[in-house]
This record gives sequence, C-alpha cells and structure tokens, in this order.
Amino acid sequence: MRLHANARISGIDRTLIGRVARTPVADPAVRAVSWRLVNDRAADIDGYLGVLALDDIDALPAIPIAHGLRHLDYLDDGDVVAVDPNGFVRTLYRRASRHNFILVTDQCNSYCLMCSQPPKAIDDFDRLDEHLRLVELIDPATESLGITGGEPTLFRDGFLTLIEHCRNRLPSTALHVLTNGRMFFYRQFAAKLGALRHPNLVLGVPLYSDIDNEHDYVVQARGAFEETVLGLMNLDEHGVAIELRVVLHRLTIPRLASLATFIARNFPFVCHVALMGLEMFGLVHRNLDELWIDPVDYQRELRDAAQILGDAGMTVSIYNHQLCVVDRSLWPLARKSISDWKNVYLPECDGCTAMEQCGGFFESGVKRHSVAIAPLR
Amino acid sequence: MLLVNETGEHLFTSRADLVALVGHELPKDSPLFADLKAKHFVFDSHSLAPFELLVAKYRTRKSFLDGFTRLNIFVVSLRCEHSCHYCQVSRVSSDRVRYDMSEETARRALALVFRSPAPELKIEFQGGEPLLNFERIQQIVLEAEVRAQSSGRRVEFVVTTNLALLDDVMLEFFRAHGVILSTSLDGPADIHDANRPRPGNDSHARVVSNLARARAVLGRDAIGALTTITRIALDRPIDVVDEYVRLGFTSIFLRPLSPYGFALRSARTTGYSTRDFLDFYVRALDYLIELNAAGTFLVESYAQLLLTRMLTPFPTGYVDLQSPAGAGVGAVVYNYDGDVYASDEARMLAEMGDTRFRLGNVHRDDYSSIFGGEPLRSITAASVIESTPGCADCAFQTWCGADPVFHYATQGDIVPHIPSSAFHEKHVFLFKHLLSLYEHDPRARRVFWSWVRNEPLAEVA
Amino acid sequence: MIVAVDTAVYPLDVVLRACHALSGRCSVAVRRGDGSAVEIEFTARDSADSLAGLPRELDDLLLDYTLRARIAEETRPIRELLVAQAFCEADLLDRRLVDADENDDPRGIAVIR
Repeated sequence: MRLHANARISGIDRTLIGRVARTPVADPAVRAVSWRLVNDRAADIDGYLGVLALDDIDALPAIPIAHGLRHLDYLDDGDVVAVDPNGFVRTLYRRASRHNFILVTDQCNSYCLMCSQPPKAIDDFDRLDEHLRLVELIDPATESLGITGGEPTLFRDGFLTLIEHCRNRLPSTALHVLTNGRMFFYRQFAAKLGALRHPNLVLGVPLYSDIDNEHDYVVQARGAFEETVLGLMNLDEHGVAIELRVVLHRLTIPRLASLATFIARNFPFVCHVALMGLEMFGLVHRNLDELWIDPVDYQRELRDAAQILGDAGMTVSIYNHQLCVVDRSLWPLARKSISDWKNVYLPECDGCTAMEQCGGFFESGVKRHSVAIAPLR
Repeated sequence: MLLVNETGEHLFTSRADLVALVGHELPKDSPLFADLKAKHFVFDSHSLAPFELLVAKYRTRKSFLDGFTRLNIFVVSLRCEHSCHYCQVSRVSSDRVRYDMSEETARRALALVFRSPAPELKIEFQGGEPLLNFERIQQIVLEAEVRAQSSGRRVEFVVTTNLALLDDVMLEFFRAHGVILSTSLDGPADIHDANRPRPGNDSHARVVSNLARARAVLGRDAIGALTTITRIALDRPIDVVDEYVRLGFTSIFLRPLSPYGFALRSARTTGYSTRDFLDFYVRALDYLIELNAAGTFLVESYAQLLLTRMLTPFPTGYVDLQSPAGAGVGAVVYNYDGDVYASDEARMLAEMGDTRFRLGNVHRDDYSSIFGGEPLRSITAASVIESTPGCADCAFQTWCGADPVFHYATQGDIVPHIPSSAFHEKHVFLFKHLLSLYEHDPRARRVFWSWVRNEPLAEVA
Repeated sequence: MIVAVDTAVYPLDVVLRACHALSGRCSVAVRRGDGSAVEIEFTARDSADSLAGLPRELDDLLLDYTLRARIAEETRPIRELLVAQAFCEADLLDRRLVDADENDDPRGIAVIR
C-alpha cells in the first residue's frame, strides 16, 4: 500500500496537517483541522483546512487543495494526512490500522548491518512540531502507536516532550518505542523518562550478543553494548518497561543460547524477548552474504534459546518466520508477522494447510528464502 | 572443574583451560574466554557495564539483609497432645499458666515485631501445638493487623499445626484473616502414626480429614506440609512421596531429623547418618523428577531453594541458608515465656538447658538491647562464610550459607569445623548432585526450572 | 604417617589450607622441617581408618589451593570493590560520564558517523 503520493496542489505554502473528513463535519472547530476528502468537487467546503480530491478538479476554489490522489483512495474519516508545499502528500496515520507509528527521525547513531530503515545523515530536528501536531490529531481511542526512527532518542528533550504529549493526549494508547537504548546510558535521561509515568509504555531495545565487541560490530558502533546495557539497567531502575529484540542472522546465531542465559541472568525484569527473523529490507541486501543463514539451519539454537528464556519464566515470541521452517515445538511462540503491507506466498506454498496461521513473506523477502519452504499438510 | 563467581553464575572448564586462564594464557578469541566474559568471571576492558551488572546482581542476592527480622515466630504454647519421638520441645501438659503465652507477653512481643524496619512481615505461630492457645493467635492476628494498617506494612500469618484440633470456629477465623496453615505429614499412615503418637493413635487420620476440611474453607494452596524423615522412612522414599501425591499436595519438604532437643536424646531409636539421609533423598528426588516429568506437579522445597540460589539472580528468604546467617536477622523467635531467640533451633537448645542464643526477654529488655546485644552480634559475626575456614575457598560458597546454631549444637562452636561438619557434607553432596542432574539429564533440568518458577512444566519450550 | 612439603613450591598458606581440608578424616600436625620444608603428620583417629590415600590427595589439594590462591589474589581488588559498592550508599565508581547531562553528551553517544 502506498502511503505517499505526489499531488498537484494549490494554495499550500507550508506543510498542512489535518484529519481526513470523508463524511462532512458540521462543527467549525473540527472543520478547521480537517481535510475534506472528495472525488472531484464538493458542495460544501467552507471552513475546512483544505480539500483532498481523488480526481483532478478544474475550477479551483480559494482554499488549499491537493488533487489527483487516486492512489490514496483508501483514506477515510479520522486518518491524518500532511501535504507539503511541493505537492508531496503523506499519510501519517490511518485510523483503521493497528500498526501506526511516528517515524521521529531518519538520523541514527548506530548503523546496524541489517537495518531495514537505513538512516540518513540529515538535520531533521524540526520534525518534532509535526509529530506533536500529529499526536493531537490521532484518535484517542487508538489502541497502540509505535515510536520509531532512525533513533528517536537523538531528539533528547524533544523525545521526552513527544512521550509526554502522547501521555497527555492519548492516555489509553499503548506506546511502543523502538530505540537502541544507548542514550539512556545517561542516568538522568532514563530518570526523566521514568518520571513521565506514561501508563502504557514499552521500549523495544535490540541486544545482539552477550559479548560487547560482537554487539558493537552488528550495530557498527563502538561502545554501543556498554551504553545499551547500562541504559537497560537505568531504565529498569526508573520503572520503564523493556522488551528485548534479537535479530537472528549468521552473526547472532552462534551465541544465541549464551545471550539467552545472559538475558535471563542480568535482565530478568524485561517483559518480553522477541527473536526475530531477518527482514529483507534496507541494508540487509548490501550485507546479505555476511548475514544470511537459512532459518532451517538454526532451529536447534532457536529452540535452545527459547527454552532457556522460557525456563527462566520469561515471555518469548518468534517473529518473521514461515511456519514450515520453524521447529514444530516452537509454533506456539511464533507470531504471525503483521503489517499493512500485503504478505505474499511462494509457489511452493500452494496447498499448504497452515497458510492461515503463517506470516508468509514480505514481498522483498521472496528473493532469498529458506530451502525448506514446503507446504504443510 | 566447576567455577562459580560472586553472584552465583557457574561454568565448567577443563583443568588445563583453568590453568591457562589463571596463567593469562587463554586466548581472548576462544569461545571459553567469551563465556567467561559473558558470565563476568573475567574482564578485559575498563568498561563499566559488566561491573555494574555484577554489583546489581550481588546486591539483589544479599537483599535479604534489608528485611531485618521479616519472619517472626510466636511460640504461643509449648503444650501439645502429640508426643512425637523426634519433637524438640513440646510438653504433654494441661498447665496453661506455665506453658502458654500470656496476653501481655504477646503484646510486648508484637511491639518489638513492629520496631523492625521490614516493609513486609511474616508472623508464624508455632508450638507445641499453637491451636491449644487459639485465643492468643486471635489476639496477635487482630493486633498485628491494626499495627500493620497504621504503619502501612504488609503482614502474613502462618500457623504451624498438626491439624488434629482444628475446628470450624478456627477455620472461619483463618479464612477471614487470610491465615495459611503448615502441617506435618511424615508419609503413609503407618510411618506417620509411628512417628507421631497421640491418644487414640489417629494422627494420620486426623491430618487427612482436617486437611480436606481446611482446603474446602481456605482454598487448596493455603495448606502446606513438612516431612520429617525418621529411620523407619529411610527405605520407603516412594511411599512417602506417593502419600503427598495422593493427598494432592504441590510441594513436599523432605527434612532430616534435627540435632536438637529430644531428637538428640532419642537418636539411637530414630537417628541415622547424614549419608543415610542423602541416600533416601536421592531416591526420593529421582522419583519426584519422574513424576513431575510425567505431569504431576510436586516440588521438593529444599531442592527448590538450592536451585533458586544456583540458577537465578534472585534472593531467597530461607533463614537457614544465608551469609551472614539468617538467625536473628531474617528470623526471630518469641517464646511462650517472653524469651527472644535468634532462631527456632536456638530456643530448642534453650529447652535443653543451653541459653547461649537467648537474645533477651520481652518483659525485661528493650529493642536495642535485644537486637543490638552481644548474642546476636556474635552469631552474625561468626556466620559470614566468606571468611569461614573451609567455606572461604569453597566453590559452592555463593549458593550456600551459615548455620551457627546447628554447628554449636553438633560441634560445640558457632564457627564450624567444616571438614567434619554434617551440614557441609549434606550441602556439598546436594550441590554436586543437583548440578550433575542439571547438566546431564535434560528431563531433570526442565523439572528443576519448573520448580524454580514454581509452575508445572509447560507443554512447550 | 609423615609427609614433607617444600614451602618454596607451595606457600605455607596453601599447605595449611590443604591440611585443614583433610582434618575431618584424621588429625593433622604441621611442623617445621629441613630448609624450606614443612612436615605434615597424619594420625588416624581410629585404628580402623586407613591413611593410605592421603599423600596423593594432599598433592591434588595443594594444586587446587594454589589455583584458588592465585585467583583470590588477582581478583581481590575487584571483589572488594564489588562488595563495597553493593553495600555502600555513596558511589565508589567513576560515574562522571553516566551522571552527565544527555544534552552535553560527553561520551559522544549522539554522534552520527
């Protein structure tokens, strides 16, 4: 699904963010923050933030307008859309989706070999205002919201402001933050986050090895292990819930069981450990020879790690795996990879009886996959 | 070779690798070096993280010290209608004035309990048979609840009882106040009744019927049981365990006879060697592992304690296995006559005429003279196993603890002579045995973890 | 039974620890011997006890206690610091970096390469 489009615009001289109104709204205050979504022309567009037209409109009214948005015909009431002065239309939030996230920044202080969202060295600190505005427009009934990047904590005070804003505006929305945790090396930063007392916040933090230099190599940042480990301790001390995330590839598999022991012994407080298959996005392609291991070849290690963590009473999930390559004893831990992108299946999957429970593939993952893909009967 | 570090993590190496390590000749890129580093046996940089992790784990393990006198034992009556051969202290008597705790004694003891800084308190009623002085239990529970409420603390109550005298009024009171029960069950009827004579010789039958009544009122998990192993049980581990299965218990605590009181005097008829007990224990443990692996959840409590100390970073509250010793620090006993002891064993010694471990008396002494006085200081100082000869060098040190009262009773000195100590013999054997099962028997490993979690074996990983 | 041990090979402390470990089985007396040697006399407590395996066991113990002594010596400072830090309210470690303000970022965590 495309979330962006280039539109023909008029009357837009700065980025305008608003809620989508497919259904007309009466309240003038709501109109002022809403994009009126029409097919071609609308009878009543007075007082709206602007108009989003799926087709082209010939006679342009004197109101911000973006038209020719056929690609975005899924837009519906409550969605949030930004239109840039250059005609770039971005869908920031879809009310019907369970997987909304705020991409805080494209910058990152790590450069993980398998990064699915490669960072950019740009100054985008000015995006905070847009994020805060977005939080105000999101439906407070939203169940969960992701905070991601890049590395969102690079915004430092801005990051805290964003979390606080979510707490105030979306108190019943679960927040899941993806961060490398390194910035929480600074105890005060962890203390400030804890002091916000967000009622439903989890930080998903990657940990790739129990050995410092191995973790540092995977994230391509010297000292990262030290920073993340101390960060985890500081976060726990200040009552912030943590999920650990381990991406499985050729560099992390050899010590996976040791890492599981290390986690159980040192971080028994984490609420969840996610063992994740390699996603074929971003930098993975560039480093594929170094990273690739057929999942069918690491099931013993995966089983051992899951067992160690489970024995110690920790909650474990396995993500991004096709069921036919996962050891059957691990099926109860396998979560269907869920996203708004449509998952695909291979010709080999034809006739498989487990397709309903299986995550299948991301489209980009079709190129390189396990030799063991086979229909289950 | 077994290596164990200050926070209880363990690792096996060959002797050659250990010699290489100690000689700084183990290659830093070897898998063993990585394992040693990950478990914080070695450091190879000035990084703060491994040290901070060690400190956090060390502090967690020793956090039992923060809960100064969490367990408070009240001996509300020394009287008992049983006359068990191994019983240390009780009296068959109807002299309530002489052997029951008075209202005033209870009130003064309670005042001391609430001087403790511990945020959570446990009050355990023992005897004799505490139900013989039920009105004192009622008084203490009610007053403790008021004090706990006003000081914002949590208090738990346990009554250690043979269940024989349990009636509906008592049960209703226990239900209303969340009191849990701990009873004695030594195995099937023939063993139990031989160990625990009472008028009518119906101890086992009373336990079984009152257990069912108590469970109906208090809930299934509100009644635990302890097993004292006597000589007649030694060759019947399966029968003893099966009785616990039959009665639906989820834990069994296999305890050897203690070397105190009447137990010592009757050693000739009921006693046996440490080795005999361990043989029994191994057979019982094997059977328990088999049962658990097949789906019957029944935890052996002492193995659970040792395994928690071996396999997890968490502290354990058991007062008999800490360093410094839990006596007086983790637990304190208020005797029926107002005397205060550092442990239950200490008051048993006193019943034998040796008051060495009496910390004071609630009628004559105040908090600081009882808990800051010479008896408690000397026990605590003598029980730091990190500096005890024989313990200081022991690989099992971080998993083990001190028992100065036991050593005083058996060896005549609160500082043990480790090479001849029965405590040492028992614990070294148990650590080795549990570790060997854990390392070599995947089925036992899974059962052990389920005991550590105190949950039945999961169906899947 | 008398066994001689050279304290130039095994320090006296190691010898005494090894002897202590054997003192549950028999009585052990340690005396000065020739030169740098010490003499260890094992005496059975009971005529039924055999001392036959003791010299060999002593050799093993001497090696074990030597390793333990070297580990103890080398790890003493860090173990002492560990216990002190665990029980001490004040900070014994250099925590200037972790106590720094994240906006000053003296460790350079936010630096993007």
